[in-house]
Formats: sequence, C-alpha cells, structure tokens
Amino acid sequence: MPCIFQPKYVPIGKIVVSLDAAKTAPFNISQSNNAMNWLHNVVRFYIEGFREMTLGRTLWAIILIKLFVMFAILKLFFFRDPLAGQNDAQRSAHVMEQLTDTQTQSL
Amino acid sequence: MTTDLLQTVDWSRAQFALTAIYHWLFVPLTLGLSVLIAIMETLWYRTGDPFWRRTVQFWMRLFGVNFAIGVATGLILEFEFGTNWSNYSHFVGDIFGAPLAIEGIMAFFLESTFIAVMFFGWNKVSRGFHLTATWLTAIGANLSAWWILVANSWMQHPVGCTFNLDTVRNEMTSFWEVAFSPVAVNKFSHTVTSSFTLAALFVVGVSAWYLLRGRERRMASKSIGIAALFGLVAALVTAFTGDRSGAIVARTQPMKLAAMEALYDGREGAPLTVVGVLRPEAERTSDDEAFYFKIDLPKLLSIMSFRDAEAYVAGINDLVAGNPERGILSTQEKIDRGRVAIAQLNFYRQAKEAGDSLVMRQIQGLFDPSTPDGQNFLTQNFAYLGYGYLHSPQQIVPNVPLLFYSFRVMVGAGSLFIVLLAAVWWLNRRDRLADKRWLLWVMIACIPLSYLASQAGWIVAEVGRQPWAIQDLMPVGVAVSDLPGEAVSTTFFLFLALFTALLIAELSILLRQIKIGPKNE
Repeated sequence: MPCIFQPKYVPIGKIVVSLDAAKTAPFNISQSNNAMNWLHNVVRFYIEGFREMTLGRTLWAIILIKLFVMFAILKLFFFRDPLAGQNDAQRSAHVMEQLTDTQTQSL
Repeated sequence: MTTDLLQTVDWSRAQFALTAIYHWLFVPLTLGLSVLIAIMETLWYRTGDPFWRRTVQFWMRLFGVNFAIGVATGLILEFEFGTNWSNYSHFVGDIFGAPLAIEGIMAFFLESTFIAVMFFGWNKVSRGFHLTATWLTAIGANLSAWWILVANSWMQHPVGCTFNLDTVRNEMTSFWEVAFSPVAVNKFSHTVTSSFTLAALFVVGVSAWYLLRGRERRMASKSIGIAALFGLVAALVTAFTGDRSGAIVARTQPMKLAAMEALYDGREGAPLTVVGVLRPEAERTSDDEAFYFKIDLPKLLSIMSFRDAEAYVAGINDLVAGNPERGILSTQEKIDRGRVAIAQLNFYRQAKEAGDSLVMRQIQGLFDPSTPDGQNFLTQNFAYLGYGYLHSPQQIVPNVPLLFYSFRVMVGAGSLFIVLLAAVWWLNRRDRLADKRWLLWVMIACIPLSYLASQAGWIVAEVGRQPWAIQDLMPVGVAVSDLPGEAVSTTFFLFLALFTALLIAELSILLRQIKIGPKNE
C-alpha cells in the first residue's frame, strides 16, 4: 500500500540514503531494517560505485598493477627479512651480536 | 667500515631516500587538497548552489588521481624497515611500531572508509552525510600523518622509553611523552601546514591555467579565493612552526643546526646567513674560510635558536672538538663513553651465553633507571651508545652543503609563497588577477616549486640527523641489515623504475583531467 508521506532520505544504519537514488537502484532500500539488509545495501553501494566509475577504472587498474608489483614481485623475490623465521630470543641474540660485533664497532 | 658494509649502508640509505621522496610527492597534496575540498563542499552544503558541487567534483577528481597513484607507496617504506633496517626495527620496534599500528588501524581505515562515500555517495547519500564523509576523509588523512610523524620524531629525539637488556629493545614507558613530545607536535604542525600550502598552490596554479586559457573563469576565481587565503594562513603557520623548529633543533640536534647554517665556530650573537656560496669541503675549517661570500643578518640565529640576541650558538668545530667553557663535550669523549656502554652490552652477552647470572645481575643494575648507579650509567654512557660505533669524531658532521642549500630553498620558497598568496588573494578579490598574465604564469610555476620546497624540508630534517638512525643511540651503519649491497642496489633500480612509471602515469592523467575540466552532470 503506497504511503502518502514519502521522506526524501531514509536512514540505513547511520547512513542516510536518498530515495531518489534508490528508485533507480536495483536494490530495495526501504526494506533495509535489519542488519543483513544494511550489510547488503552497503555492499551494493560499493558495487554500484565501482560499476559507475569511468576514470576510476583506470586508477584501479594502476592500483592493482602497483600492488601486484609490490607484493607478488618485490616482496616475494627481493625483500628478504633477515630476522624472519626466528623467535624473539633468537632475534634479540642476533641484534645483540650486531650491536657488540667488533667489526660494527669500527664504523 | 668495510667496503661491503659501506656499500650496503649507502645503497640502503639511497633506497629509503628514493622511496620516501617519491612517497612524499603524493602525500602533501592528499593532506591539503582533502581539506580544501571539504571547505568547498561546506559552501555547497550551506548554499545549495550547483556551481559548488561541480567545483568540488572537479577538485575531487584530481584528488582521486593523486590518492590512487600514491596509495600504498608508503607500504614499501614499511617493508624496508624490516628488510633493510632490521637491526633498527628490532631495537626500537615497540616504540616505532605503536604509532605505525595506530596509523594503520585508526587513521588509514577512517580515511579509506569515508573516501568511498566521498566518491560513490553523490546522489546516494544525503548532502550532510556526504559532507561529513569528506571532512572525515580529510581528518583521517591528517591523523595518519600525525602518527607517522610521531614515529619519525622519536628517531630525531628519543623520549619516553627504557632499554631492555634481555630483549635488546627500547620499550615505551610513556605513550604520551612519545606522542606529544615537543618535537612531534611541532613536526606535525610544520609538515601538515606546509602540505596545506602546497595543495593551495596546486589549486591556485591549476586555476591560473584556466584563467590564462579564458576557461572556467568563475570556478578558477572562486577556487583561487579560497585556496589563496587558506594557503596564506597555512604558509604563515608554517613559518611560525619553522621558527619553533629552529629553537627545538638548537636544543635537541645542535649539529643539525650548525650544519644548516654552515656555522663552524660557535659564537654569542650568532648571525643568520641569508644567502651564501660555500667553499669546497677541504677549505671549510672555520667561519672565515667557509664561504666565498655570504649575506648575514646579525644576531638572528641566536634569537631564533634561544630567543636571546646574545645567546651562544654552538658551531660544528665546538661539537666535534668540544668546548669545555660552554659545557660542550667533545665527540671523542662521547665516543669513549659510548664504547663503555657497548662493552657492558658485550659483557652481558657473554655472561648470558655462559649462564653467569651474577654478572648478568650486576650489568642489569647498570641499566636500571631506578637506582643511582643505573641513572648514572644511563645518562653518562648509554645516552652516547651510538657514538661508540664511530671511528672518528668527524663522522658526526652531516653533508653541510646539501643542508645549507636545502634549508635556503625551503625558507626562500616559503617566503615567496607568503608574498605570492597574499598578492593573489588581494588581486583576485578585486577582480584584477586575470589581466596579469605574468603573475598567472608565476602561479603555475609555483606548483613544482612548492614540491621542491617540501622535499627540501625533508632533506633538512633527514640528512641533518646523519649519521644517526636514532639520534645519539644508533648510527645508520649499525641499524642496517646484513644484506649484500648488490641486492639493495638491484631493488633500488626496480623502485626507481616503478615510482617513475607511477609519477608519469599520475602526471599524464592529472594533466588530461585538467584539460578536460569540470564536467556537467
């Protein structure tokens, strides 16, 4: 049954959403009373946002390429953490050795 | 220092400098432009004028390009702490890690959550909520900077900590002392307001280009009006905090101040050098022989450093050779004291390996600040631990020409920005700016100049504290990981290629978006 008074915005949790936009959105904002619907709407908010991007797609492509280079190439093949795989005591012993190394002392 | 270690230290420093410089190309614009966008959006919220919405969306597009290209470049710096500077990371991990963790958990998530609403929320959320999201993005970005700068400030002036012999770590004893040390507070305000100035100059410069082209006159004029005033206030605060930085550095890092001024012989009523040309290093042994020529402002360095026209400002020679009359210890004395601390660490290590609990307890007593012996050892010896690794007092002198010229580029450009922004704001207010084409070109030229000034500021801050990774406690040669120099040099060139590609991508996308201009919905 249609309601006579229709507010312009409705709250979704703490977010207030425009009903004008909701009419064109493929999800029903007015049913977002419970947590699942709220979560659903937040997810759709992001999906719609990403879908409507123009310049943003190029930027996301750059971000993903950059992260791939950083994590898949540099991190895996070039960044070797000298203290990785050691427990705290071993790390402490290693650093103490470095701090008291006679070669280090002749910097 | 052996050739291998020298190579590793130098390449690691070069790599960290490269990463930080490129990272800082993106950060200041994000910090400042986010606030400017929030101010403009506030005008849209208050007036409901679609012009402001269109203007905000245009600047937001440029902000988005800069944010997207720059995001995560800072992650490489965090990798490098673990890989290239593992001794350092372990030694300070608890203190350095806390601000970085807070930055990641609180500020970065605040920023990244609301940036989505900022970009995706047009027509989907109310104007009020959108404005809130924009402000929270700006606040989140700047809070992020706060914690990073707290971590950096601790390296410049280690406070609020105690050294644990067993874990070989400095442990935080006072979070507030670390988070709100005068160095941290001033560094944050100086860095953030200088970033605001840079962003203001970016908006002013881009708007000037539109005025030169005779396009988007209203948007350009209104943007200049807001950005010039915002930038002027920010630049004045930057100058004020810069003055405070000088006073703080005089007390906490006197060698940095002496090197910035190429002040070799300390003196009462020390002058500030406005401009000068330095002689080659071999000829620079005293003030009389340091410069080909220079122009001084009498007593100003003493006033800026100690708020007293007759105050004594220590020179490089005082800090290296010592000056008993002024109570300045020689570096050799500090080296000797540091070596005593290293020897105690070595005794403790040997006792621990031998299971000699008696010796261990005795040495633990020396590191206990609650006992008189402990207080004495910590202030007389451990405070100079880092000096114990130096082989020559001259090693505490940073690169004087680099500091001297960088400081003048920063201050000179900053002074120019104050005059320029004031003039631009005044002329724009009287609608007399568009005719002054030469000034519009100057406004455009100030965009790269603002980046140069910002980078010069970091060079002063970071090169000025060499050879220290942590002031007085750990030189870079001890902080560095035991890595082959070739491995570090390889990654240096990989980073160079990656960051250069990102910079080219940013510039080409930004220029294209500026050419396109604001879009009508």
